[in-house]
Amino acid sequence: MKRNKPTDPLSGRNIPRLHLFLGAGGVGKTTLSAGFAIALAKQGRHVGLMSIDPAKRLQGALGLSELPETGAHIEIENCPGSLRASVLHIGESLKRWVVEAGLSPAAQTQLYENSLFKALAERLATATDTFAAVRMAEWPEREAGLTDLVVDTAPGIHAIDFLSKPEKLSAFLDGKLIEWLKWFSQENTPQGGLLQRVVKGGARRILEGLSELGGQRFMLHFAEFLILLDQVFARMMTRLTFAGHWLRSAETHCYVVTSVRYDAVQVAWELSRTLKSLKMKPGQVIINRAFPESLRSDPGFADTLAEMRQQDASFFANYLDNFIIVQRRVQEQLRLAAHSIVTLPVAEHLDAHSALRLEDLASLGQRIAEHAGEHGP
Amino acid sequence: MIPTTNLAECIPQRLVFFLGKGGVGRTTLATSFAQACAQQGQKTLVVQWALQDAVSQLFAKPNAGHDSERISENLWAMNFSTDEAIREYFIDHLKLKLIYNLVIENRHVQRLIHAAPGVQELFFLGRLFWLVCLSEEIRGTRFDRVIVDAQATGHGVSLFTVAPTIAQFGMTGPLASECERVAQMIANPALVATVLVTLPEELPVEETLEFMPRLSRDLGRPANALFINRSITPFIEKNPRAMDQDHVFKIWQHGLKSREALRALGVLHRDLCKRQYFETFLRTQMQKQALNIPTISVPDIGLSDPEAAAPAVLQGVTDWLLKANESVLDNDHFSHPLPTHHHLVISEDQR
Repeated sequence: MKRNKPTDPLSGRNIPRLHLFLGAGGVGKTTLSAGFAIALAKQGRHVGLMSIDPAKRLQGALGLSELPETGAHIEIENCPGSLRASVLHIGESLKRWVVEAGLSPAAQTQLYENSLFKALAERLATATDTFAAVRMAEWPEREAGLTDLVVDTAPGIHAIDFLSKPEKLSAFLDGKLIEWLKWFSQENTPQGGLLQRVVKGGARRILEGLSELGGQRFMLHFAEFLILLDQVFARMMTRLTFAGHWLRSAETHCYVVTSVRYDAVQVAWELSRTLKSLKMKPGQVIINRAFPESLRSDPGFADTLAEMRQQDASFFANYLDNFIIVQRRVQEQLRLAAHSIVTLPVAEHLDAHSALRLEDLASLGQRIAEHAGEHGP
Repeated sequence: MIPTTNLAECIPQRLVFFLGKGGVGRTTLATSFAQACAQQGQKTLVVQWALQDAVSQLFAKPNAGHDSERISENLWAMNFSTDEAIREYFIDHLKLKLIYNLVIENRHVQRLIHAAPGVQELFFLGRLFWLVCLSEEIRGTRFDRVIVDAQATGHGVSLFTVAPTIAQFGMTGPLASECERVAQMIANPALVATVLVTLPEELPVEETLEFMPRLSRDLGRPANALFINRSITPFIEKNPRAMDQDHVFKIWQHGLKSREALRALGVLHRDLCKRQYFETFLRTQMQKQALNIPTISVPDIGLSDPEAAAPAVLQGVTDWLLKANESVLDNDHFSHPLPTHHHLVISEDQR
């Protein structure tokens, strides 16, 4: 199948296809996205994988005890393609961006010594959706020849909020405020036309009001910080805009992952709605860790349950019964929201508490790829 | 593992923070604990800081806002709003209406407030201070208990380091004194308790083990308790045969027709046993790392009945916390005739 590669509307060059994994916490997003990325690489694609907060076991499976923020090449046997995996470390990315923005070493030192920097870096780190998008937009810049990027998103319904609320980031670089603070810290006397002078006079009163509340020293600290980061933020905004375009590209695929849990289904439902309201392609829904069909359809299953209840094991029998009831409800609900549902049964090798193997991840990813119609390079 | 004492009495502090990541059941446990206090005759308020009030829903009551709403006997709920709290602080507390109108309501300042680190957290703690230490003096109302359901890292900065962090910025003036008094409140172990909530699953357990030392460092003392939610251990302790592999395997082998089904059942069995494995792992690691925090397994009550309505589950957990009522472990604990679909709250317009 021939495919039109998505192109960057700004530069016109080809950009990788984007595969986004969305869903509630604990449904297996990180594992599935890793498996999917491995499966694509085995098909000969050149794949980037961006994970958020992977468990140690998954990092172990990828053969790296600490996945770096900038990514590392993953060795896969018999693999015609390639895989580069990374983990989101917002603090480290921020420091790298500071360096890349061309801040002088002296300015860098000044920035890192600013007591607000650490606190604000921490504060920024909670805007995971926004930061992940900025980091995501960086991949095509950094990795030439990438054909696909698989992104594991922050858990919950806010993973793609930055699309509708880019002001979350822009609040930090409110141009007006930075301008005011510049005057304030440099004690510039307002100049220019009458109107400008009036406006600046108003700004001065506001700043004076603020410093009355928090103290002048604090204001100067804050001004210094914002001015130093000005360029870094501007660069981030550009990338965020690009991320928005990229996500809306017709080639972008979203996978909404849920498990057999009422709360997780509700999140999946909300996410599907968000995709729709953002006019993005409807996501494919994956029900992960589902009840195995082979067991439910076994002619002796009902009798086995009854026998367990007779013999002191009704706790487990009830658990199985309930699993089926909840799964049926979950499927009914999701059928109303999604046109395509993939069901992945609880898998032995993935759920044992022993080591996770790359092969098992790949076969899991292969199932998703087949459903999504991803064949060959 | 069954609590031998009444937990509402074991944690007598007036201000109790329930801490844990999304999805671990923090709201359910915080509300159950609050209900336990309320049922002991204490006037109790649950404070949330969320997009939407989830507590009132459990009692089929309309969502509460920034002001507390009564949701049942002795029990109130509220959902903190930064904007409201800032308005109260400047207009009612500092009597600075002019500054509020001129400075705080300015669009650019608003963006600053929502972006700056720690500001929202400071006002959140300030509101708790008001509830715990001031409301009686000012309005003559007093809650015996204030139960906080919030993420450990408010909207960014750790709630327990926000005051020292802000103090570091060299702040002076009214905000600096606000920092000082909330720091004093948090430092008081007789007034403030913290309870961690986790799940017996891989990632939550990893995170809890990492979080415990951090909390001790930030707070200057360890958490007062750790709740392991959705535990199966109490069921197994009550009836060891329920999950005994050899025992159940014989039944399956006899009853199931296909080898595939037998293998699948084995996978499901191990999957459920994993909860016990991770719970044991967590307890062992805590012992090894000398994290001596009272650890309570909260049975997965909903597991025995997916049709159980929210109030019944809540009451089940409350009973467990109050007097270790073992009957919640019985399979016929819930006796309700009608299946309710409370779990899926999907309104008509979403369809």
